[in-house]
Amino acid sequence: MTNSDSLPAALFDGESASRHSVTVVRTENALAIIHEDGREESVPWSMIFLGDSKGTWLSLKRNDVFGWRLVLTDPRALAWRQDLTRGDSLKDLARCYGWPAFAATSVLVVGLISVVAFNFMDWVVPLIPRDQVIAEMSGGEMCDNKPGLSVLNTLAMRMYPDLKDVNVNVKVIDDPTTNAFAAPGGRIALFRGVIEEAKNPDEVAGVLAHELGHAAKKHPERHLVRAFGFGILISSVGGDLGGVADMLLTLSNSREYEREADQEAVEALERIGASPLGLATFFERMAKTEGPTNKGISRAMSYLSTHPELTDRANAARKKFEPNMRYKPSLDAAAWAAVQSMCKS
Amino acid sequence: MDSQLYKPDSSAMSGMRWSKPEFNGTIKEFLPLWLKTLGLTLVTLGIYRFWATAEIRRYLWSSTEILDEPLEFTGTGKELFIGFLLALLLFILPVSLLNFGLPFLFKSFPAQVGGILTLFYLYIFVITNFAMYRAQRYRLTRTLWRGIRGGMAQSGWTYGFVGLGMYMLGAMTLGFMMPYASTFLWNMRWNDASFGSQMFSSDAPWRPMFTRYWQSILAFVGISITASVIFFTQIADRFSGFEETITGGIALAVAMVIGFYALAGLVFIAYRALQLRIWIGHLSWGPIKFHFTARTTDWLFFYLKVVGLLILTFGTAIFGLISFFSWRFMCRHLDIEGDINAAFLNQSTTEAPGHGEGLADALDVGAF
Repeated sequence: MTNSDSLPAALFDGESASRHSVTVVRTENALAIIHEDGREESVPWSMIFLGDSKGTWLSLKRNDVFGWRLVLTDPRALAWRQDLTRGDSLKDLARCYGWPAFAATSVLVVGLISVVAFNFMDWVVPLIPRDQVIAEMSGGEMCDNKPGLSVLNTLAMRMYPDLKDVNVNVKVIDDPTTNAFAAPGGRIALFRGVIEEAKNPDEVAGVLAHELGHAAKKHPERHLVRAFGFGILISSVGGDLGGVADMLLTLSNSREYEREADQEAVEALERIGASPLGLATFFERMAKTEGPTNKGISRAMSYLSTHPELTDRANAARKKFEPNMRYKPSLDAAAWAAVQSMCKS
Repeated sequence: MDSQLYKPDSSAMSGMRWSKPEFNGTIKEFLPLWLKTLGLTLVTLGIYRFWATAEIRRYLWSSTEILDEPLEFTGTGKELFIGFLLALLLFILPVSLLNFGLPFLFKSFPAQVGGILTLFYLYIFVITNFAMYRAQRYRLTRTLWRGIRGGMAQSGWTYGFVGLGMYMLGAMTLGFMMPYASTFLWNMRWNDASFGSQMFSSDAPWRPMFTRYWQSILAFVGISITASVIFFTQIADRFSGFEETITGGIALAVAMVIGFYALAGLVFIAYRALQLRIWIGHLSWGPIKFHFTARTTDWLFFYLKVVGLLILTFGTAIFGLISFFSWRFMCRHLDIEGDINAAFLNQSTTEAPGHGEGLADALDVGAF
């Protein structure tokens, strides 16, 4: 390009919305702008950056005057795009430090963030006061009977020797509900109702093994990550549709988690030579107490609930039972008595 | 000042000038840009999203000419990212803390827990409205046209509290006054808005949309009841043999959830369409008046297109592709009546924020 090229352009000065017709001349160090009234000004290239550009036009901006825009439509000016930078984009950063360094840094940053994101719960959970949480979540009293607790915790360790480093801690909540849950950080809570409802130690062992299965698979932690991380991300991205996707994901996850925990439980019972029948009979009794409902509705709705139907799960556990096998009781008579009496003070 | 803005030659002879935002973007140009930003967003686990948004807006704005001159989006990914971090601090952090701390609160301060929760929900309402105001402010200050930018007159906190009051009014009247409340807020927001030295002005009435509001609600309730009766008496039994096929169950769940959302969306499209026509139809900017022409059927076809796109792209259209079509839809249905005398329009003197619209983003409230 020769220095003598003079091109027509439109100038917006950033003070008013008026469009001024000007002529510009490109020189080595500056861009000369000649106004209609003959006035001439010179803007150094160091102050000029690329604004927007489309197929037929490009606009230049100044870093010292807000709103100053010079719009060029002359084909000769469109080539200036190559010589100018936007002055604020990532691309300029990359150009400044070189693409390899930029790519390497990006990979590092993304890697770092993903490490933090994936391990966040593992780092945060230990900071929560351990024993308080379960008691406070249930809002109730605990069955603090030492012998009973030590029986349950020993049973847990026997069934899941691999969980030693997780610091498994089994608690019993003094509440008649027939339920149990696994909280983050290997904390398991059985409600008193489970012990009262159980006809033999294998049933308690089955329920305990199921909850420990959740802990072994880190399900509670994953739920937390989902609740705090993914839910927020997805809803901020997609609004209502994101919400639907999130709900479906949670549903299918929960069903998947229950099945996984059941599987883990059966394997854990096998490890100590106990029968999976306890798990099955307990589920069957729970299914009965849930009461006779319209079969069609309850089946259809079970796909929407987080717990797949208990009878289906009981059948799955029953299939693992081998009649010819000689199973050992999961607790001896004295230990079982200690558990049964642990909530009677 | 106002009268000077009128174009001297635009009055008597030829009548007022009528125009539209001239959107000259094409899907052929946009597709490579979208694929690039989508790829980077996925590769960076979503972090690139803010830069992608800025890039996509820059394209949409620069492809839109209003009264012969293109718009320019001057916001950056960095600003949007900082806005997101701010949202984290103001919204996501308190929510998470409350979630974790709730059991503790119940145990230690059982008497005060109700008060604390109430305060917290009030805070959420104020911050939601605040975010909406801020999002509009961000977009206006980052939109350049003829070298001039827009702005909002206030910081948004007043609006946040007024918004809380309006939604409380809506809730206390069981939704009866919601059209009034939302129209009041729309007017308040746009009466604070300006572009360059010229304020917007909005005097939208709420009564014309009242009938359709209640028709929509009644229709929704009626259809929901009918649909659930049909589901539980006719359809549910047929799924009794389903226990072995999880896919069948999931398909049913998906159908039900999507059906519900589609129904709610369909019924309220009619109300929303009328509302936007009234709102935008009473918006003016100095000598310029706006009109919005999208009717219920237009919105219906638009939403069908969006659903189709989502299905075709496995949901990834959410990251920017839908923006293209909704921007084009808005441009096609916006009429601009009048012209300005640009020499008398000066640069905005409003305050410009240094960060993006993260809060509105996190709370999922749009600016418009």
